Amino acid sequence: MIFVRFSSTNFIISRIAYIFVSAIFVNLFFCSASYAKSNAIVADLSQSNISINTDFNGASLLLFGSISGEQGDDIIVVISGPSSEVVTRQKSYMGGIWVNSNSVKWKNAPSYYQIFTTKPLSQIASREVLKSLAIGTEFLNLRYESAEDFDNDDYIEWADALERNMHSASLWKTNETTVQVMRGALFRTQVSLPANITTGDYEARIIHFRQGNFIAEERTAIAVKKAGFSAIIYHLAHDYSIFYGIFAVVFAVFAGWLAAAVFPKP
Amino acid sequence: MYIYFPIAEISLNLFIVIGLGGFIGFLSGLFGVGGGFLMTPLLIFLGIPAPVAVATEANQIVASSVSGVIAHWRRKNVDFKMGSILLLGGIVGSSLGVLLFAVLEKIGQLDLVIKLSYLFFLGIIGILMLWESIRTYIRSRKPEFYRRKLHDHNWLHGLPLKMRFRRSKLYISALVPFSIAAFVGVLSAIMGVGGGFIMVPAMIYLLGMPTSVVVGTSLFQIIFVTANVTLLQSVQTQTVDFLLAVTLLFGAVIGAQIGTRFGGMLRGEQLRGMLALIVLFVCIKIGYELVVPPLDLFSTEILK
Repeated sequence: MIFVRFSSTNFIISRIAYIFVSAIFVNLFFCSASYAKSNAIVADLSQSNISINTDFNGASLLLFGSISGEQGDDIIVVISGPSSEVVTRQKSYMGGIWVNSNSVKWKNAPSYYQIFTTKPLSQIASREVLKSLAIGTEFLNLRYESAEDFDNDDYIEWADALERNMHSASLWKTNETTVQVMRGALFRTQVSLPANITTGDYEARIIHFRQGNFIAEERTAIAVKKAGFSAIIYHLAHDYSIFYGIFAVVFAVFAGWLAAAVFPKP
Repeated sequence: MYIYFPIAEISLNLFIVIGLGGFIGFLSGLFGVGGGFLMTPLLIFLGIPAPVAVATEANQIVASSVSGVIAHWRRKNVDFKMGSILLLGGIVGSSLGVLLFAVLEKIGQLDLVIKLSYLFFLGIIGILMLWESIRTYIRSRKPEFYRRKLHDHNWLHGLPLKMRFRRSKLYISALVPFSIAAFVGVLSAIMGVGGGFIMVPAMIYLLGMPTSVVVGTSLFQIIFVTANVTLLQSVQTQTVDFLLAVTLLFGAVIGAQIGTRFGGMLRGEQLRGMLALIVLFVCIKIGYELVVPPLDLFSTEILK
């Protein structure tokens, strides 16, 4: 099995990783006979733990691995973030101003959902196949809470709005032709996690297709956690909120006193 | 250089945040105001969620008011008795405000109420200040002497629980300052401000306090009101971003020093006129956003 890990994710490192993986590919190529018919997917990430510390401004990681495929095979990578409670609100014009009026609460929307493909989705597999594999935000099977007279047309309109808003926040996205496959055996793709991501367990699904048919699927996990000083503040604020509040006040009083002492009024 | 704020959960350029603190600090030093009424809307414009902006700003105002009150205390310009009545009212009002805040957030109308409050109060205060500074400016050109009565007697003086406030030279019902402070406390919790810009005119025109003790006494009570808001928001909504407050504070302390030195070079009515224009500018910007059709009628928020 291939296990390559890198702690940093900048472009140069990712190139090095690519060369490294390519080297492994040569080995794999010569001893591929033993894997040939197993359809196994081997996948790994340059970083499977993302730490959100105070210097965090999004992360970029490399997802790579091998398939036992042929020239012209396709790969779809689906990365989804923790299922969250999400609210979509609609504004309407009331008394001369724009006010939030209706809302729909989605009970299980993924906080992050990005697709990476070798070709445009429609050229890889039919809608039915994609639906059966639950690939794409339209097949998410969202549960929701809304006003009582909510029909199918409304659902389409609101789900569309959800999709649009999540897309403009760079959280839901389909990145077509971003997966590279070499000789039907090695694949790689660059995954970007924006700075506004939710913490929790992310899942990467790597799905292998040949001429529109499903061949194999593999899953791997990414953990996104707050770390360092950022984690300490968050933890204190949520688990010891009274002490956190008292500390914030005491610190502010001290800082104010210090400012007055250091800079006396002219 | 970017810094990730753990409670606001966004990454912002460190120098922009310090610069914002510095700019507001400069204005507060220049004009002698707290600056919360400018800081909170600007934080929201930067993309910080409104609840975090409001709660964090309360935390920062604690520091700026402590630093401000020390100078007034040295000059004995703080009426502690009046301040205590005001802070009782302020604590009751701001506690109610934090509760109201949570309810509004739950029904998705918090942003609207924050914006409308800003529009209304900044509009009134801005127009009054501009009018007053123009009038003073015109009057200063043709000097005219007149003597005002210390204060007018009206129905407010008929209320029970009368108390004597020596520093303020007043004998009035404690209910009046208490209710004013309670009302400002509610606004303080919802708008993320100290409330000095409402409290100071109210103390002068409604209570009839001498202007010399007004600012010091107002700052004194703002410390307690904003400390109360910081504490309650920490416990109830967990939206106080300590790192953000410290970063803003750092900029504000330096900005205030520069502002204070510049302030000495300008005349009072010029300063008030300029502040009035800034207040009206923020007010118009908020109003414009409410009136102009949004690019997308729908907006989405991740709750948890």
